[in-house]
Amino acid sequence: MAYRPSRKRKVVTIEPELNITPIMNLMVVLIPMLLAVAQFVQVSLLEYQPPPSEVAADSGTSEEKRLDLVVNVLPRGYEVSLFGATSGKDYRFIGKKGGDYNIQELQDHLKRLHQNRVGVAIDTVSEVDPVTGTSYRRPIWEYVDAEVVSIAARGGTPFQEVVRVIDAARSWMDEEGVVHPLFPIPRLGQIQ
Amino acid sequence: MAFAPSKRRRLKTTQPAGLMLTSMMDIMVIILLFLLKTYAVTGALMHPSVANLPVSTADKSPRKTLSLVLTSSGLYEDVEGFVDLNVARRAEYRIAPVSEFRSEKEVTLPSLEVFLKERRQLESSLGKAGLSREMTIQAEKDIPYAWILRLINASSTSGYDILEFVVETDAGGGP
Repeated sequence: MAYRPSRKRKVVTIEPELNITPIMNLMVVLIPMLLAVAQFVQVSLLEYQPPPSEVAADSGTSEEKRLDLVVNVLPRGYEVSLFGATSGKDYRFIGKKGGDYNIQELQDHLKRLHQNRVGVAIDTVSEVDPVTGTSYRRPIWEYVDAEVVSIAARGGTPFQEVVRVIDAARSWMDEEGVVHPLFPIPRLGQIQ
Repeated sequence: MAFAPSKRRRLKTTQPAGLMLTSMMDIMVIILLFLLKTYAVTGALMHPSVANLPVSTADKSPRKTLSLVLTSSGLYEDVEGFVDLNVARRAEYRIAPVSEFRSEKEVTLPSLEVFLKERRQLESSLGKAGLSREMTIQAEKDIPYAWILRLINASSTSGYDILEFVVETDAGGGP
């Protein structure tokens, strides 16, 4: 007579496992693609347009009021002047602070100049951007060169120092993150 | 009386040996999120070709134009992967040597003017409508300012009067 089969059957439970192979395949494709286009150094463009030729620049009428804002980057500090002044209330020298250029003081001074001397635009005109081809409203100021700052430095000055001055003169940001334009058009020159 | 144990061979449940992918998935997800955060559409267009660009608060997006690289060893045409080229390979793309920048006789860059003239002729032969005026310059932050002015002068006299300097973005926004 045969033995009766055992009733102690062992139930083998296999836990269902998610098949993640397709997701892995997707990852393997996505990661190299994103690595190729990732920007680890954020770069942007600092635009500069050289001034028109001297003949074209002088074609304006003599009745036009000019601000003639100049920032000279000297070895001892910044020299800021209006109307070609070399002394008096339209001239200011901002010395170095602890061996470094006092860029914050320069920007504060330019903010004051913009507020007290330039003021607000008296009108706007429609113009077309030569680069993008889009039209925009250009403000008209009391001074024809109210948006221009002439920046001059010695030939051996590091490029970074000039870029800092361009930045300080372009605009300033308030505590709420609102950007206020100052003198966004730089004119670069060299001190001989 | 207890039953005698079965003499039949015990059935072995064989499970396929699967690779444990869960931990790898965790890493992949973290890398993917990080890369998605740093993803930029313009990244493919503009990779810095010099290591020490000037820092600026400028926020204009990079665009693809005629691109030049100004380093302490001279002026070069910017090509894909320029930063990885060795000195010998870089020399193939040199437009103007340092001696031209240091020259007291010239106020412009004759080699650059020749290069830009050839570029103009190429554009004309290809029938390109409208002459391009834009040029992108990647210059090291320690480059003497006089070199920059000389480059600006030579470019603008050759008709490239919209110059865009590539800068490293300063997120702070302060001066």
